[in-house]
Amino acid sequence: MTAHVVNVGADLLAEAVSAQAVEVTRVDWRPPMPGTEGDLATLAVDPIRRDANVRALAALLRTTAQLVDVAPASEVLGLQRGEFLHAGPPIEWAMASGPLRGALMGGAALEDLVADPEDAVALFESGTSVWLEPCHHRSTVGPMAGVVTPSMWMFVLEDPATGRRTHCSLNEGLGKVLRYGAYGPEVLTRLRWMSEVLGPLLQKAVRTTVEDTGPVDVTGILTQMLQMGDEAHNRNRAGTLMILRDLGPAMVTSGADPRDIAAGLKFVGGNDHFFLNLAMPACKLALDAARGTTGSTIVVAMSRNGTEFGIQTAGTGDEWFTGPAQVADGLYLGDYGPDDANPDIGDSAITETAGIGGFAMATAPAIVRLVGGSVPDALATTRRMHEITLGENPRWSVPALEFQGVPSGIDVTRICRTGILPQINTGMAGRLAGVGQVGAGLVTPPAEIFPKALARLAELARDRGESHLRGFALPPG
Amino acid sequence: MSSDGLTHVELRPGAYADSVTLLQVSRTVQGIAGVTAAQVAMGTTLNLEVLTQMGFAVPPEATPNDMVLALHLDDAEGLDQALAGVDAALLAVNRPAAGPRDLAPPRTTATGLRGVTDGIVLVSVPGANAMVEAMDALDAGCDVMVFSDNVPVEQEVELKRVASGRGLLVMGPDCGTAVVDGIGLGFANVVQPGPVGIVAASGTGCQQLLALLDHADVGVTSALGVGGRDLSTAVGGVSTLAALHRLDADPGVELVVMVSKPPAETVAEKVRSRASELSTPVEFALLGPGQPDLTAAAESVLARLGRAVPQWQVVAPTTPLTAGAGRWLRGLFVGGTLCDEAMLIAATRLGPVHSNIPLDSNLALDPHRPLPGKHTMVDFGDDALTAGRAHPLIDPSLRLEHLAQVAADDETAVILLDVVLGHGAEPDPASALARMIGSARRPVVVAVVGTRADPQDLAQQVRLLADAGAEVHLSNAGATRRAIDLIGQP
Amino acid sequence: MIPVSAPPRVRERLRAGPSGPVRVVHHGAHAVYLDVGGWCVGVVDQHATQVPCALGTRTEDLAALGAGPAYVQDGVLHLSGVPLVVGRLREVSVPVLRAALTTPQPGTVAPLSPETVVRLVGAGDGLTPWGDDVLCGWLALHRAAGILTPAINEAIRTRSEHTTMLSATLLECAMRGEVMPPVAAYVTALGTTRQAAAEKALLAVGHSTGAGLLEGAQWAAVEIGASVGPPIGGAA
Repeated sequence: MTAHVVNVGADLLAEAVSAQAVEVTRVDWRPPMPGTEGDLATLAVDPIRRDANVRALAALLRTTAQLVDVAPASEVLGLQRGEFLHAGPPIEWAMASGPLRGALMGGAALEDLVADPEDAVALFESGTSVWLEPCHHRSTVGPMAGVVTPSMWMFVLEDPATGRRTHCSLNEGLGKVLRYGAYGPEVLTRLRWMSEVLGPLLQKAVRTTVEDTGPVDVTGILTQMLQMGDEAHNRNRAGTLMILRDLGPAMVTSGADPRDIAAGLKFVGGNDHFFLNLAMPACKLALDAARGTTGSTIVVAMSRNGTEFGIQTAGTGDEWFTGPAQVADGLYLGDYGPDDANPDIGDSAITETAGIGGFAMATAPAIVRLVGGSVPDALATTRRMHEITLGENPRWSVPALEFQGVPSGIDVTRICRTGILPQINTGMAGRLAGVGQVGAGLVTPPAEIFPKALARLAELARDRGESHLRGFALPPG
Repeated sequence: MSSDGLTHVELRPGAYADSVTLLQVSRTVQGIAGVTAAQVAMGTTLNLEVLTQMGFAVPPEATPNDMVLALHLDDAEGLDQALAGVDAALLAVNRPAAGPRDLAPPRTTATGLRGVTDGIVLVSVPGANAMVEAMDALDAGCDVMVFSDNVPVEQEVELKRVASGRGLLVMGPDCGTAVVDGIGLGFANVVQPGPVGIVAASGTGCQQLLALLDHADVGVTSALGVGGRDLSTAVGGVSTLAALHRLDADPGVELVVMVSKPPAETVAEKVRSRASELSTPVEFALLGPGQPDLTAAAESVLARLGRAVPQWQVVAPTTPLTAGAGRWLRGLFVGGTLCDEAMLIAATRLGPVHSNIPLDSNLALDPHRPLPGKHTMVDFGDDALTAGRAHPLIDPSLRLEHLAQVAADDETAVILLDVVLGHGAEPDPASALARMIGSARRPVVVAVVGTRADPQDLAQQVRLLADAGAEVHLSNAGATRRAIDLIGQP
Repeated sequence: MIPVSAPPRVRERLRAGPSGPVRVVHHGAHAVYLDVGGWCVGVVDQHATQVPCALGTRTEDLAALGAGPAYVQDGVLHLSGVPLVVGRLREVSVPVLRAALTTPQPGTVAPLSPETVVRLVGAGDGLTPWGDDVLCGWLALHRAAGILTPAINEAIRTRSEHTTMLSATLLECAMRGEVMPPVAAYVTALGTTRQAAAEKALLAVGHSTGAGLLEGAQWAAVEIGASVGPPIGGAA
């Protein structure tokens, strides 16, 4: 028995139903992004799309991430001398922005490819015996410049159900750090200490924990963090304290020099962003479960290299859809202003891709003020993200929204239909290498990448589809 | 457009309102002092053409996502006031995001259906976007009515193929009227519940049936629209067959009536054959040359139900109508099928009738040009007459203009009008017509299509028209015959 | 104005009657009952039972509206000055009974008699006393089976002053086969796999109203021999 009418279109028709004492939901419809009508039509009738998205979403929601090891990139990634991983879609040195160049230069010095980081410029310009590759291509993610070199130690996360793994380096802390493009002596000194002392210490602690009580459940920590005011992109304080609590005892009994243990505990405890480097690979691990689902229109990666913003979808394999990275809009530290900010950079948008970070803004009111918004804005943002996602994550829920699960499964078709772009909450790097963080704010991907991804998904649908789909290319306009 | 005065065209990117709302805003703005021409519309190809035809220079960068505002003023000084008037009109129609706790409304049909278990979806977005919203409905297990027209036929076929596989019903595209579980969708009349089920490929045809059955005190369980193209060979009657099944399965439906123009032969075969397999009897009302009209169809329905056929009410004016001196029948219609029905009846008795929806292409009439020395019937709901204008059920102004012309023309013998009531139609169509009828010097016959519980108050609308001097019928066929009788009688 | 749905006879009653004030008989958070020319007309919101003598509304302000004066003007009921405009007619007729009818077994239950009616009308507390609910259920099922009950109708009418106005009106509705949705659903479900669920839903109505209706309907079912076999005309 029909009792409810959903009206999409002329409000007059909704009024006419309302006048009959019948419940009406009015959809606030807008025209889709220009040029997307034909592709949206093709995908709307693709017979495998709906089921593919259900399976992709289920796979990503089902994944749990456990911390199983810490080890050098040369071991766990097979990274060779001269190979450099970086955040974001593929890029060449010539196109790279300040922070990425600085990080690459520092990385080259760290691996003794050059004595002085400044000498690395010529090395990268020549392009001989150096190779750049996105972290994402090697089951890895990196914050900001995200540069990974062979001697860097990596967190290793594993999904116990499938054995799949992802990786991320150890977070250096704030201020003058490699990921912001700093490459001075103190940066390299710290990085060496991290490889020589911190990495092995954490490895011992993690391996001991795995044997004694079982691996740390990173997904579980995320669940608790989200209820404690963290959103896991810009705020990771509670998460950091929890990982310290979980690994502390094993660090103490590791047999390392007590001064090193103390330095390690102090290092981790003093860096509110430490857990970011666990949150990110945990999100990637979940999203990777959806990769390769033919016909699925879900976004599995959002990522920036400081020049371009790129996305990948579950149904388009390893293809990147890219556009110019935007400058965030928010608050600046000290005397810095918009002219000081680099375009968006880092793989950390993987958190938003998984439904946390900016998508879970409603759970982290403190962060809203940092980025210049208000609490109602934060709630409205999370609600708005539900318009472009296909489901909710039952594990990660938002108390202020009556424990509704975070918006999960970003759908390219919904973005093109509504014009609503994924909302990212991010730190801003200084344009010049090594300046460090100049502010924090809100940013979105460039809108144009979504119609591009949509067009490719539609093309694939037409190629595999029956003849009734082939006739679906509408004339433009 | 005059080269005096001032022309102002501006783009407002990101602003949006639906097409019906913007047509109403346009009308309001046209009425502002000093405005000689105005249109506020989204920048779709069709709308930009309308603007160009009006004489406005359209900015080349305009996209369908931009609102376009075009004004011509007779005096440049009036611009600020005119723009203020535009903003006021837009503000007046901008509804706040009404909902519990001031939540933003859903942005797609998919999110609008979250948590809805007993819903039906009504889609009236532009035709190129309709299928995507309709698929959301089907994906959520809901029937959907597609009011939108200009949906490509391959999309209609695909939508109906999917619906068919899931036991769901697509009413449309280009379906303007339906009654589902007692709820009127689109332009629909308030009906009593009862034993009849209707399957209709025509909106006003359905409404005439609903009205006549109501006058005979027979109720209707459901009236399912199938859209104007369902019975073509391309579509193959998919929704018609599904609707017939749906009504057959409903224990409350004792008789099904199918209303349409004559379908393609192969499709007609298929439909009749399937109908004969159902346990519920099906009465066919397929309008066409030599076929019974809608009133005759209603009478057959009543007979099959064993109900009395009433005298279809006629209210005569105080001064009974007599034929005037002119020669031509002038029909001015808001309902396309009502116009068709009238033409079919007139053709048999008067010979060729010219129209903008002619029965034969030699009889095509361009309503923008002066009326020829022939019998004419105009459908004001036809696409060509609703470019830049809301449907005449909502905005009667174009028909009223034409009525003024034919009423003053000595060659007019008799004027025939339809007035269609129900939800969605304007609240008081009779008043403006009554004023013109009062001053017309020729006989006017009006068919009022409406039920006793319609929001416009049927009895009062009939009274207003009769008091103004028109002869008012509840049967369109009856009104047509009467109008024909009044030609050439001394 | 507030849009409302109306059973056809309720709309007609309002339109046929004179304009003027009407007395509020009962007024709760989700329903208002009024005396319109000796008959009870209700106004119920979506949280209240959709009785067949009531206008239905989606407003959440019924408690406030019902507190003010009520009147009928040109056939339209007004609460606190706000017109309740009928925008839709609601089906309240009980569906035709499809469950198979067998020959009633003699002696399985005592048929309802006019003497029993006298004891039942008005028996119990509340807006709709238990006895009346039983009678409504009994009448509804007879109408669904197409069986007229002139003697029982007469007996009820002679006793109608012994109960509340609302209940008397509902009895009159039941005599005409006009019922609330859970009763209609029960009749449709009789003899099908949905019967148990429909009984449960009916029992949930009001404090004891649903139980009374069900008892009356079951009594009638046995009396007229409606079995729980497959319904006439096809599968369950």
